[in-house]
Amino acid sequence: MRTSHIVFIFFSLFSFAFIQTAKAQELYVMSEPASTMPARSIIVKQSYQQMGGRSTATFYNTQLEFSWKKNWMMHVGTNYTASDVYLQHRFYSTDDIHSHTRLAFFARAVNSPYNPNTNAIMMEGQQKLWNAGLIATRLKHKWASSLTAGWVHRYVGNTNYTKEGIQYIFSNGWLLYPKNYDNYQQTNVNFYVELIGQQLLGQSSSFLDIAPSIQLIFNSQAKLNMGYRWALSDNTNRMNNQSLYLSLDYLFFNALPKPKKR
Amino acid sequence: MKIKLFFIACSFWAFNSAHAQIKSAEVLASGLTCSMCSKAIFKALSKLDFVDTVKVNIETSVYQLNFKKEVPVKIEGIRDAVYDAGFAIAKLSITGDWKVKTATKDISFEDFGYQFKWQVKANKTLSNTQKVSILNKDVQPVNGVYLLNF
Repeated sequence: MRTSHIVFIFFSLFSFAFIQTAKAQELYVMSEPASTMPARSIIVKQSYQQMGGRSTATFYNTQLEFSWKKNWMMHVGTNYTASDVYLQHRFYSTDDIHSHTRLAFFARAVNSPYNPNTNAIMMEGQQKLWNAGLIATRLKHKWASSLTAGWVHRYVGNTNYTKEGIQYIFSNGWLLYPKNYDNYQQTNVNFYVELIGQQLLGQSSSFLDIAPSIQLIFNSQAKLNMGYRWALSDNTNRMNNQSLYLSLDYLFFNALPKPKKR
Repeated sequence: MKIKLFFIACSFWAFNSAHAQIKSAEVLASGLTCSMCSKAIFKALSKLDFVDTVKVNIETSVYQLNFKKEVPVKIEGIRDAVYDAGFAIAKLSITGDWKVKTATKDISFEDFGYQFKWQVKANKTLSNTQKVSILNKDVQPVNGVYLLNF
């Protein structure tokens, strides 16, 4: 068993044991929950990513997220060089007062003019690729956790490296503040810990990153995310194996027209 | 003159019956885990034309709706507001001045423009403003009938 797999299993068990007693929110910073955003709303998001490691890179990403129906949502984004389209459909949902289970399908395509000769598949707009898979989000008695797993295929022309891999994210969130939540104007402080892993197919290369982040939610409408991501284990010889992530987004409720009833 | 009096009587009757409606409702929402989800439901309920005020307990996801006197209340409007926003209703209770003050087991009746059926174990007497729960799963009427209990 690889070190990254051991770390992943240990973290999963630890999270499960710990968050039984904590409150959770599922507005993850590095992944999407299966729940999708409120129907007919629009989010405008601006992010900044400073990547480090063997080389540095800076990305400014502007993204528009919208949900035209209660179980469909789409993101379109650009970092002013590469463009990104993401589609998510929630196909299963059991809602109870203190628990829910939700499953969603997602597909993402990145169109990038870059073609770096790297072993690991770079997901942040550095490579032309598509990614599709499933998201499972479970909440039970204030424990919320989400697992995203998908197939990645990149378009590389001049390399011996594999084109395919599996990307997975395990996300957990805790509501730190407020302790007593009684109005929408209260600023929320959430702490998230996410594990992001990649296994390249056809070769024994993988990485596992950890990404803790703090999220402030203002007026239940605007979010400020601050996260740092670094490698726990990595034998992919990546160009960037650590990054600082900042983003600000604003949610417009009921921005899209109501679909006509049949 | 008689015709005039008749019309006055009719309009008085129509005015009164338009006012016989559901006074308030309590929605327990489920399937939400964040403040934005809660606010999305709050906004969707507040936008309903028959809703006067919405009070929310964010911790328990309970929304207290008070209705306008002059606009007919639509139960399906409350349901659709929550479900169309992507969430669910775990419990919906309505409060009103019911025409018949006795709840008789399995008896169907019409009130507030809807067909209802009591699911009480034994006959019970309603108060002047009795709060009752709608038992239908996802607040979907079965053959046009809402099942009630209190």
